[in-house]
Amino acid sequence: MSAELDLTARLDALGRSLGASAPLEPPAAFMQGVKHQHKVTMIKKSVLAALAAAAVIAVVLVASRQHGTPEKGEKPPVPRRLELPAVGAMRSIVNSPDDIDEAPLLPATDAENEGDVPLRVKEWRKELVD
Amino acid sequence: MHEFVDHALLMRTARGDDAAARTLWAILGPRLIALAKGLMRSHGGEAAALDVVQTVFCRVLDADRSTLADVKDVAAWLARGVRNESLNHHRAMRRRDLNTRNTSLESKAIGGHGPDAGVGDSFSELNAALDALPESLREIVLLKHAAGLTFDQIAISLDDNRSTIASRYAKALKLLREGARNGSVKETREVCT
Repeated sequence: MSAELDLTARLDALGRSLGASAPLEPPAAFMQGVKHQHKVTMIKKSVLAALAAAAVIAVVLVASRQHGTPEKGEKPPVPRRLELPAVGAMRSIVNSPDDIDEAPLLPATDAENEGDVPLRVKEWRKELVD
Repeated sequence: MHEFVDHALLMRTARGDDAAARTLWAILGPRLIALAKGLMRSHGGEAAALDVVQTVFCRVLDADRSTLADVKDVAAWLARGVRNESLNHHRAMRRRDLNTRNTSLESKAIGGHGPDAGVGDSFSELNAALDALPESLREIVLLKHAAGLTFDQIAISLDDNRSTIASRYAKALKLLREGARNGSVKETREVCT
């Protein structure tokens, strides 16, 4: 057992002696390669960053177009209001009760046409004013 | 390797991090040079070993990300690279020696390609005994004692079973002991073959 320990200890010592004269500083060619690789990595990083920035700008532009954000010097678009013809007629009557005679009539409904509901808006409005 | 080498250190080195590259070298460089010197004892000195290790370290920079991501153990992976590169270097040198037998004597005279180049006389017997081992056993001894790998790391490095590695190592130690006892290196080689 001691002989074996002695042999492994000698082998360890041989291994150490083989590596004892190794330079502490890494070889110049290797470090040159590391420096070159660093440059390559930096270039890759900056290209990727530029691409990412371009992609973000493109996404923002597309999104702003879709949502109607005005460009420089352009007036913002006015949202269109949905209005039924009957609602419009009612609004004009309520806003100007004096011109009630000129107020447009609501289009007759199917029920009115059939004679079940003969009351027209004009008459109904008259009742309200009286 | 006795010191744990973080996988992130390898990745940072590959990305060109100066500090990471220096740390990686400080941890693994000397051990890998020792391994290269051990593996190329008959065909290479200090400079050849340094060249081999430098080539392997430079490969870290050239390797693609997926290869590096697949590395299980950094020390074992680099040791495998050093082993393969040393064998290639060894083969190339042997071919060159065969072609120019006369110049080999000159290079030995210059110093640097001798079998004991860079190693003290106190280990000459042990070196001779190691040289007498079959290559498959010798490299395990070197991976264990020069590169400082564990059996698990050697198994990864040689792409073999851990128990096979352990039994080969035990066999190598047995042969080395017998060789030392008999004092005859040639006998050890005969036992192996």
